Amino acid sequence: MSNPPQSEPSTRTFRHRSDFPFLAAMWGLGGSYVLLVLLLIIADAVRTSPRHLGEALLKPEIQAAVLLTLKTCTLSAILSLWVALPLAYLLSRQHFPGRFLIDILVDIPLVLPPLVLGLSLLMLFHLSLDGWKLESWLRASFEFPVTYHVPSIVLAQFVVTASFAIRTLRVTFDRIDPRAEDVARTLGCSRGQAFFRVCLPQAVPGMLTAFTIAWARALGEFGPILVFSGTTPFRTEVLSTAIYLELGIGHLESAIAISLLMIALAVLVLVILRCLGDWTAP
Amino acid sequence: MIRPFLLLLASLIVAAGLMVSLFFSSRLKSSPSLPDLSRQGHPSTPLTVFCAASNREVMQTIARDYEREYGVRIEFQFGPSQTLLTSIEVSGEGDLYLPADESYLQLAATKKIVTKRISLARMHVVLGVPKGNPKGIHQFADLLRPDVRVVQANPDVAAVGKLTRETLTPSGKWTDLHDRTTAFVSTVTEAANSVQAGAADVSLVYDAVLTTYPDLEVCEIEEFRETFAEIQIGIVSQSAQPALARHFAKYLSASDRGLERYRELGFRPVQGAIWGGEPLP
Repeated sequence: MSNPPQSEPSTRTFRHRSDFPFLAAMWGLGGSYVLLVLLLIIADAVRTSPRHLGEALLKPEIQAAVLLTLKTCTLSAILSLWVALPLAYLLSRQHFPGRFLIDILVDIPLVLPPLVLGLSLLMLFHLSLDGWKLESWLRASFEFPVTYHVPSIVLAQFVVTASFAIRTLRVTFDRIDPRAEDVARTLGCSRGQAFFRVCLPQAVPGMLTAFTIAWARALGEFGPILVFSGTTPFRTEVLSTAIYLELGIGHLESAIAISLLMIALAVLVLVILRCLGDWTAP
Repeated sequence: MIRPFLLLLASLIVAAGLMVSLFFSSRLKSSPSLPDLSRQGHPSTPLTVFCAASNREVMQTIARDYEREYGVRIEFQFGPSQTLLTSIEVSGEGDLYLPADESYLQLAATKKIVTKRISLARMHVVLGVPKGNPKGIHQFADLLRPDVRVVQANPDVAAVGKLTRETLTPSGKWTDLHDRTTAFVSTVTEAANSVQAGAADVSLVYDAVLTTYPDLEVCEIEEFRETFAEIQIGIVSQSAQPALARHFAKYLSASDRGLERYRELGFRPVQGAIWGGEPLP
């Protein structure tokens, strides 16, 4: 009796293949974008000079614009975070009628052309309802002018930055497992306690990311500010509109110098936020 | 667990601090070089001028003169002429409107946004080329050369483009230029910036615009010898201070006041009367 023929034991060997093509492709594609950004900054730096940078920094209106930009960007990013936190949580956890519609609505500021957004804000504050106007009412009742004053800058930035913050935090809450909150509730926590004690600590990195994105977006905001806030030096002139004004009179080098100043400011703030993120990381 | 609360609390404190800071800084005087005028019997409400960005330098100079002489603060909203016009129309704010050229004022007058228009200077349509004219552009035919990149303002949006089209269409040259134009941009300053940045060899601009471009020079060609536009200022019909607005407009159009500054900064001012030292209304 012969033994049944047995199949040859598998002798497949796994040849170690080089990772180089894969990594080269990844670096080639990803690195091309990094290179592009770097080249943009180099092109700016080459076109201007330390003298132009110094002149721009010494202009009192630019100094005022730097301070105003930092203050308004920070304020609008904080306000965005406070609004985005509850709304993103509700959109992520609650299923209610009209949820889809709200989800679409909060994205509208992202897709609207910036000038249209500014014009819409302007029209909102000057819309006449039987002779009543929001702007006139705020001025008459509270001596609180908005249009062409500082609050308009914060509002113009906030409309856009809040949308970014909501989108970012929504993803954050979607990724946090709701079962941990459910467990907390079975152990006696209210919904609010479960949110504050279980969900929120896990959302801190997302909150910082949302704040960072909102701040960065506010820094570059231009169209709505131009229309809704104007460009009054020492009052509503921020760095993005200062660049526009310099370009408007052909001071290209000065405009580039202010752009580089903006980049430096942005890098500084982003580094600080990154450090804060590391500090708060669990 | 305490960190999210700490962050939220810190953000609240920072936000409150920023609000207070912005509130108080907005209450401060608009320009650090100006004294508090309201205590000296001068109007405490500043005049607001919606001004095209191309006139920024000259207008700020004249405003400083006026502020020194009369103690009236002038505030500016700079921007593209059409955007400024829309802003005045929607907000109903502003005392004076000074667009890049008179075409916007014609539109504003049609819409009854401005009541009175005062001429300040004339602008000539010219070619803007880099200093030294490296491409040797001296006549219209040079604009059609294949090695010359031409950028011009869109004739449907910007007045200089419209003037160019109107001037060249009767002679049939507009189609040639249109076909040879590398790019159309939305404003006259963007056209000049294209040459300044090296993206174009020549642009069709106003000579007054080039006064702030030290790296560009004017090249006049025969076709545009009689093609001029005017800089005018209009008094906004809804101005809260129409008498004061008229006073400043008159100051601007005085040959030894505003127009003198226009001349100094390279514009071609119109003929104006001598300033009679009129008191504030």
